[in-house]
Amino acid sequence: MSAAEPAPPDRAPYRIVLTEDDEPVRERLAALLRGWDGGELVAVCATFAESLAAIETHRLDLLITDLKLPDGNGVDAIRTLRRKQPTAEAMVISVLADETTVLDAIAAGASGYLLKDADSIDLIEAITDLMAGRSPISSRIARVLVQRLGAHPREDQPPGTARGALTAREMDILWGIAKGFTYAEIAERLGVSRQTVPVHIRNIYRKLEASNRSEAVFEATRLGLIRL
Amino acid sequence: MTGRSGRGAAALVPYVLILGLTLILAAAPQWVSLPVPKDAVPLTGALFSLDGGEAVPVTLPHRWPDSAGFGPARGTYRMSVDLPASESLLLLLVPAAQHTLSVRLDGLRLWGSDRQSWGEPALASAYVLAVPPTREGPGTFEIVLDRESGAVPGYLSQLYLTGADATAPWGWLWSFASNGTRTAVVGLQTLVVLGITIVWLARRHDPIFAWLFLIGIGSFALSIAGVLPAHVVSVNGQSVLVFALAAFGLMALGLALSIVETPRPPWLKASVLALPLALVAGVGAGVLPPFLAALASSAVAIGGHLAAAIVLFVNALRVREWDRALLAVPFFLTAWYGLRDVGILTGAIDGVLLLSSHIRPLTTIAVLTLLMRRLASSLDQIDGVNETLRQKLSAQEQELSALHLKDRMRMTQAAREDERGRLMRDLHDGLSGHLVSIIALSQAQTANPAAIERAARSALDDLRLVVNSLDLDDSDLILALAGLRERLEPQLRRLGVALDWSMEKLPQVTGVTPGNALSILRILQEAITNALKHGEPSRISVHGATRGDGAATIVIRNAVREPAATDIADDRGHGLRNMARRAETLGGEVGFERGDGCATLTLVLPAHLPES
Repeated sequence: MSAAEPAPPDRAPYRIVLTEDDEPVRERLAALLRGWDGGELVAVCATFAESLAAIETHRLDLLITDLKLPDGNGVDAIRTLRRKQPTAEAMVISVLADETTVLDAIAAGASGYLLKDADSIDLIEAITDLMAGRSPISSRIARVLVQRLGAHPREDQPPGTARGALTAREMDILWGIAKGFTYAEIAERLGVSRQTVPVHIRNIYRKLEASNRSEAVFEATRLGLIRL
Repeated sequence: MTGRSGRGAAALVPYVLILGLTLILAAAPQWVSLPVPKDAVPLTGALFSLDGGEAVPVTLPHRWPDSAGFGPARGTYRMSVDLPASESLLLLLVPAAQHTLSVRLDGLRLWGSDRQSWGEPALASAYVLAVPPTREGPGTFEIVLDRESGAVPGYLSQLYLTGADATAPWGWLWSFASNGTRTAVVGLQTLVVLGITIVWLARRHDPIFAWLFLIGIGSFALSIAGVLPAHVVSVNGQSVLVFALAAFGLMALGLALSIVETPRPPWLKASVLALPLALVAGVGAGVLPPFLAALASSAVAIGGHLAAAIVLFVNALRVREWDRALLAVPFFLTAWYGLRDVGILTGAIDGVLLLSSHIRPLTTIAVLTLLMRRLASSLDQIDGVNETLRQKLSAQEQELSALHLKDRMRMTQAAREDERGRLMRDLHDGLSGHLVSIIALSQAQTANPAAIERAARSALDDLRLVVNSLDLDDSDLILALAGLRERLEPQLRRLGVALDWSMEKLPQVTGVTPGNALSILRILQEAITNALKHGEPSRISVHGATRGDGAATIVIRNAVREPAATDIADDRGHGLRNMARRAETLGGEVGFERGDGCATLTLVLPAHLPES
């Protein structure tokens, strides 16, 4: 991942909503965010309801949310945010950043994740990368994605599916990460800049979100839940 | 044979039918006769002379007088007729004649069915002879009956003259009765004997087929012997064929006992050959009068067949298997007609025609029916057995697959138990130790937040290490290592240490079970921790490579402080021993070098890790 750049903000601070039900963690992350010039914490929520209210009330740039909330799932909050404020980004807080959590969040529209034990540097780097259009992906998650999208990176698939939407380059990158290669190794192999690898990953996230949405719509139409 | 017994009265129907058929056939001689054409001219009066003796007028039908005695004899009948004018062929019909018949009209031999092809001449036969149509007006028939052996008297029935057209509706019956039957019976008999022989050769242990074979061969031999010249098969003027009758009686009894599954006396089979031979020898030696010997043979034949019929019918009723009674019909009729024939020959009964030998075709038909029934029931049994076997097989297959499923579930269960045990051990070794430290640190008089944080982060690291080692494919070592790298990167970045990582040249390593993966990750984690603790490096490089012998090496290199601090050697030694011990369980080894301001730790792993 790129080196942290706690750059002096030559832009307006990111308007951030933080949702986390565990109080010490919430307080710790809130303190880290308050201490960062690049961001402005517009709301700190402990529940799903509070989170939804904050999304309704505030115009925001970034939602940082836990998934398991006492009165709901953070995935739904992300979905609401992406619908109401399409330009806003979402990031998931997780202890392990395991496949289930992260893939659910990506499908809902999240573009990155943050480990709960992140310190200030990690936090700022994660936010900066995400807002700059770069997304992280772990080898395990890449592997699950590759498995879901099909075994071989260059097989043609009909457009409209997630696999069909990914470019050959994006598949190559996903494939390389799933094999355990570093960004640098992949960049060297593909002859691209190391910095563009996470940008490609962001595109993959967006396509997964879109395909997830279209597949959901397709499925709902098929079941007769929605009349087009 | 399978019992196909129905219930109640319906079950008795076959027995009633069999009994009825037997009675009808037994009474047949009383009412059966060949149909005579309506406008046929009966010829009844003749002049009869025996062996060239004085001619006496007789009326047909005529039976030779007792003076014919025993042995060869010739009876001649002369009858004058006025042959009618006819446009078509004239026929002389002879419904029945015993012994070899030949007819001349004014010295000219008449031809027709007089040439006996099969059968004993002593038995009554019908004849159809052609009279040339050119003859018209008065003429004399000379009818000669030649007896070659035995005591059976000559017999000539009433004769009829008729136009060939007049016999048309019943012509086939006349033709059948005169010669067709005999040929047909021999053909049928040959086929059945052939069939029985084949079955018997394949089933030598089955007494039923052994007896059937004996009977078949015996009657076949009798048919052949019947066409031989009489002097060839005669002894002292008596045809030996009569002595063979005793054998048939014994064989009928043997067959009947076999069918009802009763043990046969051991002498029975021997007697089949011994008794006729004894009779022939007795007659040949002059010890036994031929007529008496023939009577004895007939008595055994009648007794044997009667006993066989009774055994079969009673048993069939008892076990309710009507097909066992099938053979009782010809056996009983043979006995019945035999008794009647003896009666005729001894003059006890007023009759003329000998009929017992005519039952042979009926016996053949019954045997054929019996064989076909047995074949059908055997096929039924095979079908039944096949179905049973199929059901058993499918039941066993189901049982087997259930066992297999259970076995697999047990294996899965065992694997899960193993995995759970390993996880418990790993969590106990790592995570719980750290948590206990955290509790201790937080309860200390002077709480040290930095130490607590370190312990907590170690605990979390350990948890991630365990999670990272789960759910790996067999050859996913690079992926497992990538998980470690992804966790190390932010940690090292926080410390301002650059990580130079490359596993591109690492060979494929198989046998990467979660346990093995965890051991490798722990070794590397400890190596990095040691490097940070003792080296304070600005850069750590971790490179995978392939050794000449195909083994995998992972080299961790970092800059170290100079000079080496001896006070930490023990600690470092302890860590190394720990790593070496883990590497050993993987079938690998750990090497450590230090020099030129650089520390190098090399982990060597075999291309195939042992099962943990």
